[in-house]
Amino acid sequence: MNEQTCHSDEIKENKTGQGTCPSVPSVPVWEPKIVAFLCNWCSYAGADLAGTSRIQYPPNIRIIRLPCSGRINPLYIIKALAEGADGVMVSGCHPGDCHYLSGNLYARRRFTMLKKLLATAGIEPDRVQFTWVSASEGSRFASVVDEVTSKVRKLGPNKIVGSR
Amino acid sequence: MKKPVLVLGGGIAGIQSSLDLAEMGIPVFLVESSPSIGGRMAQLDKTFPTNDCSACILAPKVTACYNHPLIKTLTWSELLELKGDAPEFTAVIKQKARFIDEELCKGCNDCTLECPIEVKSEFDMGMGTRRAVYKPFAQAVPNKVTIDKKGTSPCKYRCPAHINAHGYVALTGQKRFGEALSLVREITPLAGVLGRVCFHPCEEKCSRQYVDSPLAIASIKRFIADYEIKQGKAPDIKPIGEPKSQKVAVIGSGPAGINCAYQLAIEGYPVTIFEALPVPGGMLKVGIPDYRLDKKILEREIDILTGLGVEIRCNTPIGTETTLDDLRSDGYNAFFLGIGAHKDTKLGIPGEEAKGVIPGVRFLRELNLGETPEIGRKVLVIGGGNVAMDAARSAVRLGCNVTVVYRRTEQEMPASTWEIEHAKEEGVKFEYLTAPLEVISDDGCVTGLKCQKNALGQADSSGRRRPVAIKGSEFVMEADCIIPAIGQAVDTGMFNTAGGICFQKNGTIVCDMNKMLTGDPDVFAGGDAVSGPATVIEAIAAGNKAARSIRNYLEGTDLSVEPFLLHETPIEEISFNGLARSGRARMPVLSKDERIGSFDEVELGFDEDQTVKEALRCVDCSICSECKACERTCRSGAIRHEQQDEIIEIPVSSVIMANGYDTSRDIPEDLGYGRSKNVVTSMEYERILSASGPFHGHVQRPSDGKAPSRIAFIQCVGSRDTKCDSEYCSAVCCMYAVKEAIITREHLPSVKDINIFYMDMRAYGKDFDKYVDSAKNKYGIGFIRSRVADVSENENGKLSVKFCDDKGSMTADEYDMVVLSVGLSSKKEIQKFFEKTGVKTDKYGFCWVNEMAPPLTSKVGLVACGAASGPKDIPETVVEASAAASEASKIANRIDVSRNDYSSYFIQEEQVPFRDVSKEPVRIGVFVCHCGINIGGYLSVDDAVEYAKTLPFVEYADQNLYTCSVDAQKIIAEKIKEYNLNRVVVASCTPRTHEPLFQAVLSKAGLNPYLFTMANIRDQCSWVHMDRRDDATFKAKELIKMAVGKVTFARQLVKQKIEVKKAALVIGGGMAGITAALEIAGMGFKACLVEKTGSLGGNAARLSTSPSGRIYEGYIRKYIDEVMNNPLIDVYLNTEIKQIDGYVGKYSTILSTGEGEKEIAHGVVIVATGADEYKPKEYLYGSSSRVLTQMELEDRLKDGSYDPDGVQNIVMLQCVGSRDSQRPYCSRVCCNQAIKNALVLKEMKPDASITILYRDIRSYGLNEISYNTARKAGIQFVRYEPECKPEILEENGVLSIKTYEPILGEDIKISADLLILSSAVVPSAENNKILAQMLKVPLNQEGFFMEAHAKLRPVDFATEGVYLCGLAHAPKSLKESITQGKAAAARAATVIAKDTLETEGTIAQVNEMLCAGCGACEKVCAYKAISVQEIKKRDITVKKAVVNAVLCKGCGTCSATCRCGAVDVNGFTDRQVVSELEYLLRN
Repeated sequence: MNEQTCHSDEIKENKTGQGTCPSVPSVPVWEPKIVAFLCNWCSYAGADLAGTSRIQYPPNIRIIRLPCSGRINPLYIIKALAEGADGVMVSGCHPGDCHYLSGNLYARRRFTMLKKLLATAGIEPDRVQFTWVSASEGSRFASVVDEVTSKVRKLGPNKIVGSR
Repeated sequence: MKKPVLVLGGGIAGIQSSLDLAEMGIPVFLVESSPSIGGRMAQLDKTFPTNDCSACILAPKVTACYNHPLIKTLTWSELLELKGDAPEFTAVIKQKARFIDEELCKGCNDCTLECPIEVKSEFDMGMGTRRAVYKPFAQAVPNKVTIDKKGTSPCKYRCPAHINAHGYVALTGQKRFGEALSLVREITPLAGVLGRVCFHPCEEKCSRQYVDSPLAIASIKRFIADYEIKQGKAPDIKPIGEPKSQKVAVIGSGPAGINCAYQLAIEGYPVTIFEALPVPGGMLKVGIPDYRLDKKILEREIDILTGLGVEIRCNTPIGTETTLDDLRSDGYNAFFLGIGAHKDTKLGIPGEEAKGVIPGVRFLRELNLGETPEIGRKVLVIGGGNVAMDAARSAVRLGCNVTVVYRRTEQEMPASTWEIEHAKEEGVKFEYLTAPLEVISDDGCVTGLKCQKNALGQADSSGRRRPVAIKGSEFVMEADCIIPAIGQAVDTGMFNTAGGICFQKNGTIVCDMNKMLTGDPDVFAGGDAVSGPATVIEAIAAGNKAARSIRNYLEGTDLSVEPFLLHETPIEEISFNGLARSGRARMPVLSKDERIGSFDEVELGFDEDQTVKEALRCVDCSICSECKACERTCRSGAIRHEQQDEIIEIPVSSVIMANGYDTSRDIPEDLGYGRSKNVVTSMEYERILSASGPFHGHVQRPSDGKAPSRIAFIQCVGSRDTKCDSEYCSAVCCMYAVKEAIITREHLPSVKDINIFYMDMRAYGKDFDKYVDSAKNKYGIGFIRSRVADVSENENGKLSVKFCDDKGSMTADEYDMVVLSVGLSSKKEIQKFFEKTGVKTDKYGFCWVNEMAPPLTSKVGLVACGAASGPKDIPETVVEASAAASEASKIANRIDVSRNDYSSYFIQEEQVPFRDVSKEPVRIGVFVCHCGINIGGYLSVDDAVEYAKTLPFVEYADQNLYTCSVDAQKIIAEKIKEYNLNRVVVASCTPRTHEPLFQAVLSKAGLNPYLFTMANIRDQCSWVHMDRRDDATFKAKELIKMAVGKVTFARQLVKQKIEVKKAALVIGGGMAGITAALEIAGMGFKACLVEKTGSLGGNAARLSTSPSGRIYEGYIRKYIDEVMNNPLIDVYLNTEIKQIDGYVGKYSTILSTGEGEKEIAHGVVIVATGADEYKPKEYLYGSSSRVLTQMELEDRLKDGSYDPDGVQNIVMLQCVGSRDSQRPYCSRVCCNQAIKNALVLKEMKPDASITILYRDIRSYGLNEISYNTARKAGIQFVRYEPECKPEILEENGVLSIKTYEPILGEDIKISADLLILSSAVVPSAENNKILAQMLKVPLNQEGFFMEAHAKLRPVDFATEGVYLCGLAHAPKSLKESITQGKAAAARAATVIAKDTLETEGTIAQVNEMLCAGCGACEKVCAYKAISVQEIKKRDITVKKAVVNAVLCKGCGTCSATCRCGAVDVNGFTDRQVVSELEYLLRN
């Protein structure tokens, strides 16, 4: 095997997400860390259904449960990025399904605006993903996580961290 | 406590009724026949016309229902009988065996993954599969599995030893050979032996024979036994019982003895086997030739015994030299006699003692013991049983010329057919109908046998024909050796002297067959010695039975020994659906040449592929095979295979029938269903569309999985069809087809054409027409008015749909997929109950409901809602369910019962005062759950616990097997006290299901329940990263870290209590308002009914007859009188609402009456302001006296001013003012009103010509029957197109109508003496607007009030405490208005039945210091729960946002909107969320 390639099988004790590759000890292996804000009623339930259906997806997301996507203050997303999250995923009920009637619609408006602001601030728009997942869409949840993870992986580590 | 109500049916109707009643404080028994609640709605993908996800909107209600302390949900239960009368009913309920302990089952699904039985999933309409142990769907409530078991499979039942053939066959089908073998070994160690020599009675009963031929069950068993050998594995069997001291002696090492010793040794008893012969095995060893049973197999299986510690002493006969008493004095406590039947039966003919006569049993024994009996060349074998065959075939192998002499014919031979066949193949000759007379010998040596020919006479007692000797037919057969094999007997000699042991005449031991007990209390017996010569499997059964008796004897327990067995599965419960014929596997055998001269096994055994294929032929008669894989997997020990149905009796005050509908209606054969896979029913299609369905929401053809390009929906399948006895309209199909079409387009934009073949588009509900328009215009769905004749599949796999279009010509078109909109029919299984209980039904089996007092049925105390009383959609069902709850509560409210009588169902929790922890430093306890292997199997719980201990403020961390178990809950409470914890984190499953449970634990331990957080390390971690242990462990740690971060900032939240004013304000004195007021009063609360006009009754007071033609007058009068005279109701006529202040529970309203202003206090508001008939501006209305509206016609019919004379031609014109650009909605009532009035006019003047000009006849539901009656009565129905509306002409005072007739394709002219306009229902827009502003509730575009949710909250407003009914909501019939009035009352009563309202803890909170009073929060609150108010601060008035704790639902939209950060949400505070982020992202 090429000395310089770092094969994922060789990564031992990758417990911190910043594990090192034994063949190239000085190069830390980067795994994206993604924060997901989910509404309790649809998306969190969809994530649970992915579990009960044993649908496998990348282990990079950390879910924060909130009552409604309308609860998600845009500052949470900025805070997450500022603290070093490589990506943020926000998911609520499909339009019309909101348990609180219209919270998801307010959320949609806010995040459309936020994304534009982030772009202005030099943060790649793909780092922040907004999506709808219903309580019966376990497989959709998993594929959204797949997609978000691979997009963030492509972007590489969050550059804000270094400048903090 | 109020006397409970029984709700039958756990669909949305039953759930709504239960929740309403429980919220009114009335206990409910919710009885559901399936394993979970949710009903049909749970199966739906989306709902029309809002396209809400059905599961999303239903799930919270389901959970709320199941968790409500006043609702006892009895799933998997049936209401058998209702005894007595209201309110003293006794419900007899069968709780079907679920075969699990519901308390212990955690719903983890481990068992379902292990279960080998796969059957079609009912939930997925047979399009997916489930296991025998299953949850109907992933989110099913209750979260418990059910084992689908229809008794015991016939194979297992028939086996004398009840070896679980079904079980090991099922496991074998999954290549789980080791488990399969273990299952056999639960009964016997002799799997390999039985696989070869058993006469397999199981196969006689195998149900596969009704498809083609029975399974080769025994050969499958042989394979799994041989497989272990092939794998080089040693049998792994260890005693499971504790070692015991009492010794058991087993006399005889045949199959009975072996099994008796085996079972006792497993129990832990020391067992010694005493065998007279030099080798163990009894007849298995010395009776069966090697070519049938390789003795190595037997030896190996006997070695299992020695492995278990059984001592086998050969050459040790018991009875003569050593007696049982000797053994007793040696310390043996119990004995088993399995001495077999090794003595030959004599021929009883002269010369039998000659040399060369060797009895069959002896011959085989010598051979098997390695001796070579001298038998010469010519051998005669006498007899026709298996021993005779064994002897003959053995002799052939020794090179002899063998003839079998048998006194009857081949047909009567008791030997197995295959044995006779094999013998013939190997060259054995048969001399039938031949009886031996004398052995001829020379010098004491055999030379021949003198025989006589027989003929067959009458049948004897065995049913076989008796041989009769033919005189003079004697002849001699030459022989070197004669082997008589005509029977065996027990060698009793040894035991003649023994004490209590007695023998029958035939030599068998006398036994109590229930206990296998002889005359001596410590001596048991079994096998051939008791039964006479029988089979191996019978001996095994006897040995096992004796072992159980011996154990009972030694333990001094009850001697009932039969193992538990369910009833044999009846054949009618076995499913043979969809089974293709497949042949039974053929056993490979040695060729004829290889067999001669060799004692090698003839049968070679199946190979693996053959075995698995054969096993998969099993039809799974009883569904569950009792292979017990579930039992082995379940970590919480919840499986109970021996559970039985239970019958319980519960006293209830009334019953709500919410039993739903069937979709199993017969589908006309012409439509191709069942013939082509791509013709599916609408319910199947729902599952295809559903994200949780069999195809995960991908639209695909079931036949090949390809995306369809053209889809046809065919309406009215089994509805509006007099041919299949379902002439009614199913009310929902038009809309669900449109919905499915729209969703299809959304899921699969590539689909080219979606066409709906329909007769009338019945979009009669609120906003339905708009939905249909968007389907046409936005989604490009095609609507083809037609009748479909036939659907057939072409050679190219396309479906040809032949139909008659609206011009009357036949056309055909090709589609890839066809969806049949199958109608709703009454529930079959409930009919018997209706009949038995004396409940009236219509001829279609729907429960009859009083149209003037819905939902009352013909039986007092029994009400019906939802599809129980006819086809209807979800909102109507929900409305009826609430109305039913109102009726039930009126009865229940009157009767108080003792809680103790229902203590096992409704538990009252004691309230423990909470410790104030606000001054304490944070002390966190973390409890990490293994969830069996569900978490522990995929990540390191140890590591997680150790990690948790290192986190800030964590004082205690530990792990539990199941944290939700009762034991673990106790531990949490103990640790809270022991470590003085004031915050708790549980890392386990999802808070959505388990948070309330753990919060209750905190409450009981005296800790505020909000000082708690869950980390979801199962559903969102271990289950989704099953093959990444390290990553999952790391993630679990981080999730725990975040939970600790969140809980650190958790605060003690207090639920506020607000006193409720127990009175309702009802606005509007029409029938909806009247009904609502009467219901409120009926439930015992005060009502104030406000009407702006001078009289009550509204539109209803003008109607002449009901839809069924009954006169209304008396009824309406009665209602009005009741309202006027009810002491609990204050009626205000000529009164308007001036001002409404307050909120739910505490309203204050100023009325402006004729006599001035009056202020009233109330807790709730019911809006019943009604609507009016549209005053047409078209069709000469107002200018010609011959043009009337339907309501004006009603007036004339009612006051008798209508004069039928001179009115020969009548035309009714539909959709006047409805379904146009100005009012794009259907007025719903007009079609039915026109039909009703047309019938009335026709009856008055039978020769009158009546024509109804319509666009779509919307006689939805059971109204269709009146439509049919009208057509039969000769009323003309002529359709017109909206593009060319009918024109009215008045010439010389004569009216005529010109209209384009689409079938003829030309204009026609109809003259009319009277034109009746079916005019729209219009809201009183201005009034509604004012009221809407006062109540802060919304109106829709048309000016009708807008309910909180179109499907599930049809009479609620988003603003709590305000309810809606009648025409103010949308156009509807009188019956529907009355129902809605009752529903609104029920919903209102859920508030005013309470003395106080409790707010939620997790609600918004305003920090006044930060609030700028901008009002942004107020604008986004859907519940009007936050508002900017003027507050006095040190003499200055400032504007601040104020949260109304009662109204707030805690969604937090206000908080995210607030620019000053002044609004926060308790339980999800900014500090908590930020803390989660910081804990996660800062190391």
